[in-house]
Order: sequence, then structure tokens, then C-alpha cells
Amino acid sequence: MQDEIKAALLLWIPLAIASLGIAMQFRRQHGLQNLGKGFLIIGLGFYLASFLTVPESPSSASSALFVAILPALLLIFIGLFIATFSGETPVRRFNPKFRSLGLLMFICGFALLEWMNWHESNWLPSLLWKGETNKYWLIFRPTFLLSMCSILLFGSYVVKNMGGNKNDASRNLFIVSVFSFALLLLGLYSDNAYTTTSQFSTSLWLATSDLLGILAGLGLSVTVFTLAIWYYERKRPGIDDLPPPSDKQLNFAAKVIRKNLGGEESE
Amino acid sequence: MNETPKQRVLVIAGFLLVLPSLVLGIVSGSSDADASRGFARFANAFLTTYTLASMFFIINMFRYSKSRREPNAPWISMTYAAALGILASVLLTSQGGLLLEDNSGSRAQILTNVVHFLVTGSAAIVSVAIMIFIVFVNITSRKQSKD
Repeated sequence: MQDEIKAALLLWIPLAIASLGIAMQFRRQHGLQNLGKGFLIIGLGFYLASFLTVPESPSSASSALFVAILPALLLIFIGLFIATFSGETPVRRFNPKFRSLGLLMFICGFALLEWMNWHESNWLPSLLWKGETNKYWLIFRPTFLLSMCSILLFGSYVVKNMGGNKNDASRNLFIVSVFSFALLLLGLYSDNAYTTTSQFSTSLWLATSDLLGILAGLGLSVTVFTLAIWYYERKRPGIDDLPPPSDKQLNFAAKVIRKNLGGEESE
Repeated sequence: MNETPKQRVLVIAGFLLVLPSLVLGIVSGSSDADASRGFARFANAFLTTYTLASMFFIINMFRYSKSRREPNAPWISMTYAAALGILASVLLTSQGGLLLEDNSGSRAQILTNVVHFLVTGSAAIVSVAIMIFIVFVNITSRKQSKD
């Protein structure tokens, strides 16, 4: 019982606080947004430390995994961020010379994530938890590679057919998608440092079920709320059937515009 | 692009989104035990995502009701979502028992589902973010090469 209370205080409540922090980012008041950021940092900090503070909870293995893959993910995202904002954008933040460095960081991050899986080494973050392969790594890696493969393939097709003349982007998305698919196939036919082929095969099957379940759950939820909104929206008069706005409504609109644009009030 | 090809592109894109999962699912899952575990995982992922997404939408329906002056909107949509959720739960549990996977009780299973969703959700979000960044990296490089 004491372990459960400890897990609730050091893992579950921080996770709930972090979720509350994310929800508060959707509020308009800056004070609440800042408070939400504080909640998010504190909640995430406690959650990520839970593999040290409550190692007896099975769920704390997930925090150990996130800490282990954090360096690789940081390399990936910092690299892509630098590569994007050193290009020709109105908000260029980096010298164009850093573009190659950004792409190199992305490749190194991806390579580190894979290297951790294929080689067990003292200088790499460990994917072991209590002497065994972290069970959440068996969930994360196949899901990550499978979603990379699916989402990038989807993106490649959409960008090619609906994104105008962006064939380079479409081709590169397709290449990374095929690369992810090849890594999945490699895992099915070759043992690595943490998983055998049969373990990986089962994990991949469960990841497939997981992703299809997530897509189905999200799809049904979106459908239900779309229908609810459609039910209310169809009752509203069309834009051409509306009477002209009253003075009160015009004053209200002017007030909202002034509030958002600022500037002096004209006579 | 007119409406028909746009819709066709979206349908094909939707199919491509699930194509790798279907291919690898057929290649990797074979035994009856795998099928049973796969179904339990699908059902748990479905119910967890449906519940969390519905909670998010219900909170947003309160905002919608305020801006559109429809005070009943959140309650009606909540009723729809709850009714459909109960129906889906009954249908899924009638097919595969209590969907407990490796846990001894439903409370443990719910907590496992939340952490599981956190891990799988993170993996999916990382993939989406990588896709968006790759597109932007290519767009900005294309403009640069014209100079």
C-alpha cells in the first residue's frame, strides 16, 4: 500500500499536473499560461525522475526509457530546427552555413537511436531496466519506426499531389519512410542487442494493433464531435439570410478589433 | 485542384497511412495467441484514445457553447460520446473478455493503458514532428538554391 501511495505522489500526480499544464496552454490569459508552463516543468521533472524515486513501480520504466532516448531525440529535433531556420525563411535565425550541421545532427540523432538498439555499450544510454530489456523500448521502437514509415509515406503522397511543386520534399519523405520500413524488416530477420527476432515480431504485431487502435479511437471521437457540431451548425441561418449588424454589434466588433490591433481611436 | 481528385488523393493517402501497418501486421503476427494479444491491445488502445480524445473535445465544446450561445452543446455531445463509448466497450469486451493483458485487475490495466498511450503517443508525435520538419527543411532549401 505504501508503494502505491509513493507511486501516486511521485509518478501519477506529477503526470496529472503536467497534463494540467498542457491544458492551461490553451487558455488565453498569459498568467494562466505561465502557471501552466511551471506545472508542466515541475510535473515532467518529477515524472522523468520517477525511475529513481519510485523504481518499484512498473510504470517508472517508461521514465527510464524517456531519459535514455532524450539525447537522441534532442539531437534529432535541434538538428532539424537548425536546418529549417538556417534556410531562406523570413525568420532566419541561423547562418546558412549551419544548415549542413543541422542535417548532420539529425542523422547522428537517428543513428544514435538505432545504435543504442543494435549495440550494448557502457558509453551509450542503457535500455535495460532491472536487468532486462526495458519493456517500453519494445513498445516505443516498433511504434516509432512503424509510425515513421506510415506517416512519412502518407506525407510524401499528400505533398506530391496537393503541395504544388514540392517534389524534393516528397522524395525525401519517401526515402526516410522506406528506410524506416527497411529497419523494421531487418528487426524481423536479425537479432539485436536487446531483442530477438521473435520478440521483435510480437512487438511489431502489438505496435500495429496499437496504431490501428489509436487511429480508430481518434477517428470515432472526431466523428462523434463533428456530428454534434454539425447538428448545431445546420440550424444556424446562412450568411445571406442574416439581418445587417446592429450598432451594438458593430461597436462590439470594433472593440474586439481595437483590442487585437491596438492603435489610436479615431474621432 | 478540383474536388474529385482532392478527395481521391485523400482516400489514397488514408490507405497509405495504414498500408505499412497492414503489411507488417500480416508478416509479423501469425499464431492464435498473437491474434488474441493483438486484439486486446487494439481494444485497449482504441478505448484509451477514444476516452482521452473525447475528454479533450468535451472541454472544447464548453468554449464552443459559449461562443455560439448553445448552452446544451457540451451536454448533448457528452451524452453522444458516452453512449457510443459504452456501446464500443460492451462490443469489445464481449469479443475478448475483460481485455486485461498482463494485469491482474482493471485498475492496473487502466494505469498501464495510460503509460502505454504516453509511450506510443510520443512515438507517433515524434514521427509527425519529423515529417513536418523534413517538409520545411526542403521548402527552405529550395528557395535558397534559387539565389
